Amino acid sequence: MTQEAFADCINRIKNKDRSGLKDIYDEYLGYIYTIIYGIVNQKENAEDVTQEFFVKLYNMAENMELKDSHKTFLATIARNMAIDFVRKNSRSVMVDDFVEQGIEPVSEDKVEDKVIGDMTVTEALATLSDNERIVVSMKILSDMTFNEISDALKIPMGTVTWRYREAIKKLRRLGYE
Amino acid sequence: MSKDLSKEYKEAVINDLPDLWGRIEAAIDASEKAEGTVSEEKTVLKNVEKNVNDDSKENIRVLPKDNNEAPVKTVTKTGKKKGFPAWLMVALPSVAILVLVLVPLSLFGLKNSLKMKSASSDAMATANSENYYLDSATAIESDMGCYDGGDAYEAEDTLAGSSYSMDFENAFGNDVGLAEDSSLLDPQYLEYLTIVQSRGNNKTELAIPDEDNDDEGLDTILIINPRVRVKIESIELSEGKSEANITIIENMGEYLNGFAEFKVGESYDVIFDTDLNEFSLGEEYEVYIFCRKNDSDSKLEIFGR
Repeated sequence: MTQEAFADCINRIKNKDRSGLKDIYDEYLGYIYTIIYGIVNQKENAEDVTQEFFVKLYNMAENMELKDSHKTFLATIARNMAIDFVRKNSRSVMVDDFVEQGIEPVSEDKVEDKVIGDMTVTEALATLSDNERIVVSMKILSDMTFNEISDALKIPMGTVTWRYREAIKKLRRLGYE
Repeated sequence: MSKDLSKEYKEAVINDLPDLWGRIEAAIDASEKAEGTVSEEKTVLKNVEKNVNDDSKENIRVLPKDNNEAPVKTVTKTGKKKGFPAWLMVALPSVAILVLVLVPLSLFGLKNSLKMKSASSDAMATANSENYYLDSATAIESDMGCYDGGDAYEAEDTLAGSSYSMDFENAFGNDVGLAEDSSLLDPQYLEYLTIVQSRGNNKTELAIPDEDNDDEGLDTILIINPRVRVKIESIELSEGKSEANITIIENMGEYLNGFAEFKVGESYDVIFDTDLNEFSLGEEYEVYIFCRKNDSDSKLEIFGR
């Protein structure tokens, strides 16, 4: 979506025309949801925050003045909302989410027995600890820097980089680069 | 063959993308409806009828849209529109009770103790302070009972009464060596500050009784000087009791026989009760100088207002 097209959507929202919001939704739902999911790391919570994001966008359109890239602007709002959510709520249990999807966490012993090529990314991520998975999600899905992750999770940056390194090491053994 | 983690992870998330549009629309509807309700309530509130009666009470009747209907509800507000904080409503009566009941009571007790002293000066050192405390406490409790206005009230009063009577005991409960100085009876002194000084500190030697004096008499509280003006030079606050360094500005009252006086201009390290007292740095205060021997560690404690 171009900057002009996005501005047009915002103008329509200002006139209480929801088609403006629908166009933004259709274009950026995946982008926004991925960012939010990367931070909250739980399906239901990610859906809730994503819903809040679009409602907020609809309500704030009236006073919105776009200067920079709208995509960056949307990403910043989404990231901040997700981080707020994480800070306000106790850390969600990611394992439950995987179990919910029919994928049980895979122990390292089982990993050895598995044929690497057969593993999906979801299964591979299930081999990580909760803490490692959060860092990987934030880094990969939400494009956050280590510093931002450290700030969001309120843990030292050294811990963040260490967890990320450990996670990537495990994932490499499963064929993921 | 290596796989692209980033690409596959993002694809996995997007493949599982939920359809949230229905929820978003519903949420927007709900928020718009809520906004509509608020503006509607504002309209209703314009139909508010105010009656201010002679007692400065406001009866606010919220009327329905149709004025023929009965009022939706009536809210009675008393007093000022800005209400007092809850703690103030409890604290003010408690302070009033302290001033009105405990102060005269303590003065009455002091007078009695002074009479006792003059009747039997030799027996003062062994006066039965416990009985006195008991009587005082009973009298206080009895008086406090008159103010049983409410439960919350009662709890606050009891708390204030107990802490107050505790120090009342310390300061006035024992009449041994109590100087017959009318300034002691001044109610303002009842809001005394507590200062404690250790005997182990060299600076306290000035307060140690002369060698001729019977040290055993120190097993109770003594008023060394009822009126001393001191300046607070430094304060080190801590929980419960805090330390301060004071300078004697003026010895306004007479020292109890057997005690050397605190010299004007000298500094002393003292401890005071943070819960009861408020000293400000650099300020001057008129204090009592009390002395008490602590049986367990033979410390002298000096109290002041």
